[in-house]
Amino acid sequence: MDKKIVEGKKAMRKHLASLSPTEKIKILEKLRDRSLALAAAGMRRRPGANNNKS
Amino acid sequence: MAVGFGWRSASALRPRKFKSGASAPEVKGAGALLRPLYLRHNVGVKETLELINRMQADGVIGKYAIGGAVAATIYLEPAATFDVDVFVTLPTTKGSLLVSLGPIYEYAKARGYRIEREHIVIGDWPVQFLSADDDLLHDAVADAVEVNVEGVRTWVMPAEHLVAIALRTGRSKDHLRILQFIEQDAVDRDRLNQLLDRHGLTARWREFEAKYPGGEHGQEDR
Repeated sequence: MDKKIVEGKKAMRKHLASLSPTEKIKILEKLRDRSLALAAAGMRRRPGANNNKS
Repeated sequence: MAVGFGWRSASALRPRKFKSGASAPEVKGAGALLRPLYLRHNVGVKETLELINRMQADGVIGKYAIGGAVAATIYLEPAATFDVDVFVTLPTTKGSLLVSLGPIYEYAKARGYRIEREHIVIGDWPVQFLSADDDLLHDAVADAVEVNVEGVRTWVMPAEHLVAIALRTGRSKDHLRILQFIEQDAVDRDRLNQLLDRHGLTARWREFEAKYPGGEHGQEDR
């Protein structure tokens, strides 16, 4: 099962790596916007602040 | 929990006119990076690359190459980054051997671009210009690979140079990037070995290989 998951993730990474520069840069912008939105919303927890998963 | 900030939702949150006719105010003093999405104008990387090319055409910079995480993205899968590193060769002024990044900032300022610390904010991207002032960086710029992004020609460092620079920089995140290049077979190993040898990095590479035998680094669970 684990092997299947790992293989699936490898395939996903390979697919992403094979995209055109334009497509990749668009993903990059999306990743950046999401990170900034999360940071601006104060949604990031301090490390060790709360280890309980709800 | 779903967080709906994608291209579409970000563009839907662009500054709007209020009923009174007033626009959303510009946030003075706030960094572009932390400005709320609804106040940001989502311009994209095209404007960024076009300005860099204009700088080159106007003689402000010489040859250039994008480095860092944005360049790595061209060869690997995309990974989040907040700025664009642009390594440039700078023209020397007559009668002087000194080079300065000053003219780049002056050029950008004169065209209304905002300067935030060492970055010039172009579109949505803070861009840091760095002088390719040693042999390895100079080679990386000289051997830059042409790519086309959104219809704009630009140049990125070759994969082998990115690996060599990451090795020399030596932070944990640089090591991770090197491992990604190796695992995804994104570097020409012969070319890399020659480059490492030429820049005196072979011993450091051996140390790296000893530290990460087989290139396994647990990235598969990302």
